Amino acid sequence: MKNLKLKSARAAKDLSQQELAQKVGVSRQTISAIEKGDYNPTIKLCIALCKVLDKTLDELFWEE
Amino acid sequence: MNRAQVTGFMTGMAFVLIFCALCFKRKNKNSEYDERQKLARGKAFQWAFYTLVVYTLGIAIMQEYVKSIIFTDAIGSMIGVFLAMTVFAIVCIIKDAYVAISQRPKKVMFSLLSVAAINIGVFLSNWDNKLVCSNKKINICVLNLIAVISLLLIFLILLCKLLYDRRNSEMEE
Repeated sequence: MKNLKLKSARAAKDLSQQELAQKVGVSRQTISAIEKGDYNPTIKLCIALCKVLDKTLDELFWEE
Repeated sequence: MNRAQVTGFMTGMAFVLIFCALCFKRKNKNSEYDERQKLARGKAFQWAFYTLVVYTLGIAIMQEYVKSIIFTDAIGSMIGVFLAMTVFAIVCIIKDAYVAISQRPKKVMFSLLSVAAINIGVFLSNWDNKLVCSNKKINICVLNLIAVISLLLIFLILLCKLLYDRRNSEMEE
């Protein structure tokens, strides 16, 4: 399932996939895979993404 | 142990130490893979392992039924290692886990081409000196050619993947 919340949060911060990847210390392809729903990140990476995007875990990763 | 053996042993140890030092240095600088890449590399290793197992089985069956194998056991084993290595690299490339986060793909590609060029040089020099084949059997020198084929294949797949990624990232943004 696609993670559109992450994509929109990234777009709201005006960050490219590459920029976000650099900030959290992963490759651009990993961010792309998370957004496409092809990869389930570990909690460590989820927290890093939340901190960079100023969001909570629920806001980014909780499926309603 | 005679003098030549001691010299050989010392040279080997020196190479191992230099290699370990380089690996440790690189580990801190630019050979970091993220969590997804590490998983993908694990899968790629699995593919490489099974490739080697199947290849070894194939060679064993061939030796049983085909009497005139054109290469020696050592070369046969090394071809299997090259094959497994190539499979590992290709699976890593496909899963975006070949180039580390802070590595530059162009640098990796340049390294691949450089090593391929050195190997092709060595192979051609052996070909000129007629060292490639003797007694209707392929000599160890053919491994340079196999290395070239393997490196060029990895290079081409990496190039295609980078071009595909570039186009894809523009569309995704």
